[in-house]
Amino acid sequence: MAKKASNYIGEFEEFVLLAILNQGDNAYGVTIHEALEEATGRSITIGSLYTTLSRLEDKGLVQSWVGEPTAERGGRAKKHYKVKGSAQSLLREAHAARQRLMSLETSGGVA
Amino acid sequence: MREDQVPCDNSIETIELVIREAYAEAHLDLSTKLGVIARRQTLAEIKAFAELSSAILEFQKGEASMTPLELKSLAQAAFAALKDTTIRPPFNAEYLLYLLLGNDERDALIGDLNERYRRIIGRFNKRHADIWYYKQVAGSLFPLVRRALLRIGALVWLGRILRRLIS
Repeated sequence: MAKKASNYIGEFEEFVLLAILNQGDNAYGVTIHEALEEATGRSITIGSLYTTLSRLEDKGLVQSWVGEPTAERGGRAKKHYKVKGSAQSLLREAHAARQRLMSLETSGGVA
Repeated sequence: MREDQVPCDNSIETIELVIREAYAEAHLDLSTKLGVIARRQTLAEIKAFAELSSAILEFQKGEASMTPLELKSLAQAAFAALKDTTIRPPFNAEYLLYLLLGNDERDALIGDLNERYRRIIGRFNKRHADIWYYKQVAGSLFPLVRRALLRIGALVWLGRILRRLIS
């Protein structure tokens, strides 16, 4: 059964979705982790990244599949991620909402 | 033994000498040697040693298609693969994650940590990589434990609802 996409995403979830989109076909734990640390300038633990990824999967916003095991990973397989279409529209909505709020602030609407 | 000093004959003594030299040059430490016994082998390592074994067999049969110098290069590659695949992160930290993760996430998360751990060793050293690994595991405990507790809580809540519906 297809999971229904939630209509709310938190800030960190938004960052993770953008990092996955940014990595394209090479989006897996290490590349997403590095992209997040580089973009935010913060140290992010792998556990918080994976709990967020599993939450996004539960919400039906990302899909994952297991790749081939490699020697540099000690014979363990990579888990690749891809953002679903429903998540992309949520990201656009979140971006538009943020821009509306920013315009309110610059026009003096927000004290 | 320098490359220009590698003997040209295909005798068993030469093969043994060449393999011993490659082994010594690999500088395998004790943990690497013990790791060979304790851990599962990776495909890269099995492939490297399978190629080396078949090359040695060819030498023994007198059907060698390569020179002793080429055999030494092959042995060096095999020992390098062995060294690369036996670098292990701190066992206790890895075991903690093993306890907290389900089968589907275990390989992916621990594999990701291993991959970055090796990169840090390459850039700094094993001690720095161990500290980074412990920091990652310590920081990961809270979100992983919290998620596990939430799941247990959800199950308990569901159980209570079902019990009320039945009674």
